[in-house]
Amino acid sequence: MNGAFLSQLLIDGTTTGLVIALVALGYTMVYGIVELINFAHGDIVMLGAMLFLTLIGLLGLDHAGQSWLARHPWVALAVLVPACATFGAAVAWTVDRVAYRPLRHLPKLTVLVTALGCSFVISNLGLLWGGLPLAVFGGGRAPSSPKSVPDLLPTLNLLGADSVVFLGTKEALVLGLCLPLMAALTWFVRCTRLGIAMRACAQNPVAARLMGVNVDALISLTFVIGGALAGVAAVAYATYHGTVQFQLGYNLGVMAFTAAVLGGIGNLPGAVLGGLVIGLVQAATTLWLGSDWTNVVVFLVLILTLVFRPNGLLGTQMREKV
Amino acid sequence: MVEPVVPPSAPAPATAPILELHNLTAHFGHIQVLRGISLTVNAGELVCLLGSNGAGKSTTLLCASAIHHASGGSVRFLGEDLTRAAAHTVVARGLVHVPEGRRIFPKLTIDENLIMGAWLRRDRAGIARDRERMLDLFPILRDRLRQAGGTLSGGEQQMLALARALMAAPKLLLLDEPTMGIAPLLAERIAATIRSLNRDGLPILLVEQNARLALRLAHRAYVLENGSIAMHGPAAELAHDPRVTAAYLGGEG
Repeated sequence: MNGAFLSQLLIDGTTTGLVIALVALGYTMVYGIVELINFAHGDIVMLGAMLFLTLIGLLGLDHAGQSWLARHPWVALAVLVPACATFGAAVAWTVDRVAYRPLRHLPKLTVLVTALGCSFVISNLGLLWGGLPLAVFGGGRAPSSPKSVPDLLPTLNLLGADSVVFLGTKEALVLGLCLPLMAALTWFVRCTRLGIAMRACAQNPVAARLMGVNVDALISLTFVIGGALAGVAAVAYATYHGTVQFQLGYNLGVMAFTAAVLGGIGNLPGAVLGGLVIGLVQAATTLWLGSDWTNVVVFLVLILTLVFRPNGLLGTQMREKV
Repeated sequence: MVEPVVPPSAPAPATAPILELHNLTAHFGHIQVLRGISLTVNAGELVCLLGSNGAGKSTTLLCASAIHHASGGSVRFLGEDLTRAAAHTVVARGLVHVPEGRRIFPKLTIDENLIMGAWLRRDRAGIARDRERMLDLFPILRDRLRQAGGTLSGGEQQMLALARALMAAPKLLLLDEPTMGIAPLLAERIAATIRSLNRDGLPILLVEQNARLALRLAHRAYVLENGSIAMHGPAAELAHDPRVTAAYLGGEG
């Protein structure tokens, strides 16, 4: 094993891991404030990816050089990323408003099963969407088949054409989207009034109401932020992995949820750490054992971690609420 | 100090009612906790609500602050009907409730807890001034501004809860068992603070299990038994009422 090999593994693992981490943040934020595992979250990423591919088709970005926008892919992305983020936020807000909020006073299990139901509903909406007669969907003749995402960005090695280690524009896009977003989220939650209020609601919603906090509005905000991150993750995932399919939310969702638990559910830095660990474990397993083994090893790592640290890597003992 | 003794049927005419609970009933599930409570807190008054465990004292406060909605009767605050109001709008009107068990935010710093107290306020200068006032009132908080609230002792958490509530610039304070489970020395300090806040003009409705302490602080008192008001009157009178002394003051008197 040499340095180049290890560097490549780090780049691949970090890139995969950051996408997982971005999705994991949505799981962990929602769990932190309403103690709900929002199973539909991964599927919101999938819908975002469908929108991304649809917009690529509608704007003609799949034909390089055809339009001004197609010749300026970074500008196109600067439009598509906010569009997908807004869309993800809207879907997440709607799911909470329609399906979860009316059940908020009921036992947690009721909402959990509802979340599973929402996951199925949304993934089937994705199946319908994939059947639309668009060129990017292969004419929509096979709704369930994986759709390949056209390369918007040129394939080139940012480390130089003759470098053994490959860091392409897609990897750069993922890093460029994820890292600033995570920094912004950290600042928001740590330093702003709204962020303090979100943490207050997570710790003690009744006390927050006694301070005059509109807890329902803050829960909505949490879903909106999580959904926006899911929308950005959709662009990062679709660009980096190159295919979109209606079931991608399930696989990505399971990995992201695992990352959230691994890092300590409810803990934002934990979700990022968990995502990175899973990304690196996946990359290493794929290189050494083959991709068939990735899930086995990832969950082995999860189980071993939880045996020794039941609250996750950065999780603290859950406080009983007074 | 002892307020002039006034018969309960004839309250001082000059006082304006701040909080009026009229014939309030409340249920938790199928269990009726309040069976028609009427209670008034007037401007400048410190009123205490006595009663044994489960008599409905905390529920009365929860209904007044709209955390729990009454099943019947009405809550009026500064002349406005708040019976069905949303809890966060009640705080905006100046009715601030310090709940039983303090409920500070354990993982927020002391400073962040205080910031949350002023959540609905927008007057930055006023907030900064009140924050300074709180830190003068409770110097122990000043030394620990960056420390997580959960690391404070029970008595210190009570001070934080009180300071946090005052950050909302209340027009009426509801205090639920502020000295429960607190070392006697700290309890005395908290009692002194409550008295001085009231002397500065803040009306307070105080729920206390420590009847002796409460009757010493309050102008008037209500005694709650099984969800109904069993007695009410000037605190100084109730302190010498044989029924009160037998039930709540350990029988001497």
